[in-house]
Amino acid sequence: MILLAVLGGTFALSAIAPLLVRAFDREAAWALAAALAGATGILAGYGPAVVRGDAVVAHVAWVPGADLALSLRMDALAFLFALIVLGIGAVVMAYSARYFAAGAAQTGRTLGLLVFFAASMLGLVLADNALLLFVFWELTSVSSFFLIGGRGEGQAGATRALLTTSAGGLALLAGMVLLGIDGGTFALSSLLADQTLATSPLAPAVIVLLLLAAFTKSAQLPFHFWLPGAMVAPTPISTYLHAATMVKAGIYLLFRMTPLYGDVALWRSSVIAVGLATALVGAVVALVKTDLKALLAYGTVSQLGFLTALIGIGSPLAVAAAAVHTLAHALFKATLFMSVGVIDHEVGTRDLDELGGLRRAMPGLAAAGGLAALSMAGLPPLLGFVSKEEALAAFIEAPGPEWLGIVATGLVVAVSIGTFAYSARYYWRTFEGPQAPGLTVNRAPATFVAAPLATAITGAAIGVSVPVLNPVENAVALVTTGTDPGLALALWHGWTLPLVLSGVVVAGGLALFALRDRVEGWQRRFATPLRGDRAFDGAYDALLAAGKHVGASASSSVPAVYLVPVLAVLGTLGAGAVVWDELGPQGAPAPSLGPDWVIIGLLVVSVVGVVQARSRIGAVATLGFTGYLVAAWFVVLGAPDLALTQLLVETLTVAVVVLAFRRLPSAFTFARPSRRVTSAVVAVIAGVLTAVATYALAGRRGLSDVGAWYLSEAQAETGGANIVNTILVDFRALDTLGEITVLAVAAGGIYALLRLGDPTGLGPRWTVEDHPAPRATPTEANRKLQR
Amino acid sequence: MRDSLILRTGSRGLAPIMLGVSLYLLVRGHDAVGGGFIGGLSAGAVVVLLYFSRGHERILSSRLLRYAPLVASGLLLAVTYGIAGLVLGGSFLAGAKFELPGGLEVAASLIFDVGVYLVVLGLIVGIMRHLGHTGDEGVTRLPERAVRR
Repeated sequence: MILLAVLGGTFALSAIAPLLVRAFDREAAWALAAALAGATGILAGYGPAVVRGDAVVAHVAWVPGADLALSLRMDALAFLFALIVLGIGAVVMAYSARYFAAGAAQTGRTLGLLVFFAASMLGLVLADNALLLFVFWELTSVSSFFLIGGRGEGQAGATRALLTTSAGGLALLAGMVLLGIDGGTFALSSLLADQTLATSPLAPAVIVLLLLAAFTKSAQLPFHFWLPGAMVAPTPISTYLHAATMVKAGIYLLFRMTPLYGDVALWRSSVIAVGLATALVGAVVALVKTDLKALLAYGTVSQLGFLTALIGIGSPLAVAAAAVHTLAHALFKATLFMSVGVIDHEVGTRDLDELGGLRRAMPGLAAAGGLAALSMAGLPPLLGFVSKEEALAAFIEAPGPEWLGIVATGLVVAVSIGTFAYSARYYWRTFEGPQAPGLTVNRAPATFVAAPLATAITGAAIGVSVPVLNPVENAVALVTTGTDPGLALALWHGWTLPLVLSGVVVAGGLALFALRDRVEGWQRRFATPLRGDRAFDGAYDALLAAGKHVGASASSSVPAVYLVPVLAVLGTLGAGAVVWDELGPQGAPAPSLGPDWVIIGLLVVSVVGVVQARSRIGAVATLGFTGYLVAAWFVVLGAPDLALTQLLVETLTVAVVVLAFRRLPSAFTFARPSRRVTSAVVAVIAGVLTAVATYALAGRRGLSDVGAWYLSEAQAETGGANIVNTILVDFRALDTLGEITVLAVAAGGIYALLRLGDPTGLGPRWTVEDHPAPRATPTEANRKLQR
Repeated sequence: MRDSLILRTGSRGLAPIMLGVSLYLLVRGHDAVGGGFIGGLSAGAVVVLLYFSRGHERILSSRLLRYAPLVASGLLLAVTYGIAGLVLGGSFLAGAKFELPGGLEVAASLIFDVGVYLVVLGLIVGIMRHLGHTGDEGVTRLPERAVRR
């Protein structure tokens, strides 16, 4: 139950965050940070039990029949991710307290959304139900969209991020549903324990779908483009969502599914290949970017690729190394992003070409950035060094064909050389060298620099006391691969091959850094970076154009155009019913009563009246009379509820149509005779077909079983004697709820449509051409109107 | 809107009666002809009557006849009823019966039906409010040519 309390508490915190901000302005972020830190502490207290293998669980059934449950489970893997999510969340909150300007209007919204995101992400890593996992997954995508787009400038980037990740989300849903059907349950831990699922015929489809989800979320090739585009967001958001946590959701999914698919060739080969390719491309592009956030974004892409490949290797050693590196990356990348935010804030630029020599003005920040850069480059005694050593060892000993280990290790060394070089590039060109002329540096308050320093020092502290991580990483390897590798992390393992390779990396990285001007020039000349964002925009525009094309047939201003498909379908069905035996009349026709013929006679008269009417109002009123006759028929047949509803709907319809028709000329305009003849022929054919089909198909069977059951049991079950009503509010209340929701949406639609072309003069005219109009205008007008 | 003395005078007497009938239809719906949909539609007919007898201004100036509060409260009531069923009755939208003093029996689903009533009424109010401004207030009729095909 503690999991439910922490998760529910975090969601509740997101609801009150805007209120706190209203009361205490940006200082409220300290309280939020304290709350998240408290939650981190509570969960950390369960650490010893979790690494022993006693998962913490919570379960609330919702729809047991459909296997829908709020079911949470914290094993070692979820524990690691939950601590990262909450811990980094606390630091980012503390950082936000100084990042956002005092009194800024958006602070409450942003902080509320950030906490909401933290809660969603926590739910994602704790979920033990496949569908619940999907729900939280989507919540992170949606909150990411609002956080990126929060400032209005990032619309394109936010849209790309949302569409890419939610396409992946749909793939996740499809994959999880297939997996759940295959396994007969949606309980994730049961699914993962069922090894037969890995070899079932559905497995390849599930694997492709889940990989699509993981690769889009974690910005793997060819979907990596959304991540640099998302960097328009304010820095706390880039730090938290797009470096430390949300992009790790895909990594988490890969970890999570490893017990099932870790040994499947399709899974392994695609994860390793995509991961390595992404790692290489990200590192190469990061070498040439001069916008610090773009540099770090491509660095993140590269590191995520590295993690992906490592999980793909799938040996206990590799998974344990990936767990350590996930933590290391969260710490150093959060530090780097937050330090860039401070620089942006106090210097006013984050372009490497305009920066330099900041160490003298900002020694604390330089220390934090330096420690993080060392960790990213993989130098001792930092955590990044340990995790990279373990990873190299895992790649060298990769199970499978011998060439795989050699090729993978070679590529990883290349990636690490690139990583070293761009880490050095980041630190050197920001903090060292001469200060660029004309650069004014504001003094950053100590409380602002505290957050990046805290994560940097944590990384260094864990680095020097790294054996503390042993239980966690071994436990993660145990739950994901079934084997405890019994790893003992250390800074010094003796003269091993990984250490030699580290030496190669340092030498290569230094060389690459020394030649940086030539490398940049060479890259700029030959660079053909994969422009995923342009490809995306092209596809997006093409899709919209295609939609316009398809929709064109349904956007005519001539009503007759809309009648064509309706009549065609009606005619086809009617003809089919008459011609095709199996669809045709079944059983004898219902007996006709005396009053039927009276009503039919009156109906004929009223229909002739409608056709003859010269004025629009007259036609509508006569049509309403036809409706009343049908209501009378319902009375004769013994359906008073239906009759009453029909009567009222008919009345209101006439009133509404009269209102709409006031905008048209009062009399019908005369069409050409040929047109009138065509219309008449079409109308008669449609009418005859409908009549014949109704006669042939309706009223030819007795009471259905369901109907009989309602008649005999409804009153006892619900206490209501009106069966129609008990169906509406008891038996099928969920349907009714859906229907009134549709009504509510329709009411909103009417409001929006009619206000768009507001002719009353009560508010400013807001037309499509004016778009984007200031958002406040229509609402303001609305308020005036409603007052 | 053409001013009609008969309509205006008649509506003053009719509207309260119609409203009463609509509420009666709503309350007795579980056991006899009626219910939220029918009751809501009858109340909507009162709004239409008000519109035709007293004009658009009457509806625009009303504090109660605003579509958003009506629709939202109706939907909220229905959902709340559903959640109460989940909490108290064990499943979403679960119903219950209550014995009132005097031997009256009331089904809890009446609350749900009230929600339906409000949403239906709100929809009609929305239509009359926003579709119903009269031509004299500056609506330009489309020229004859534009509608001729």
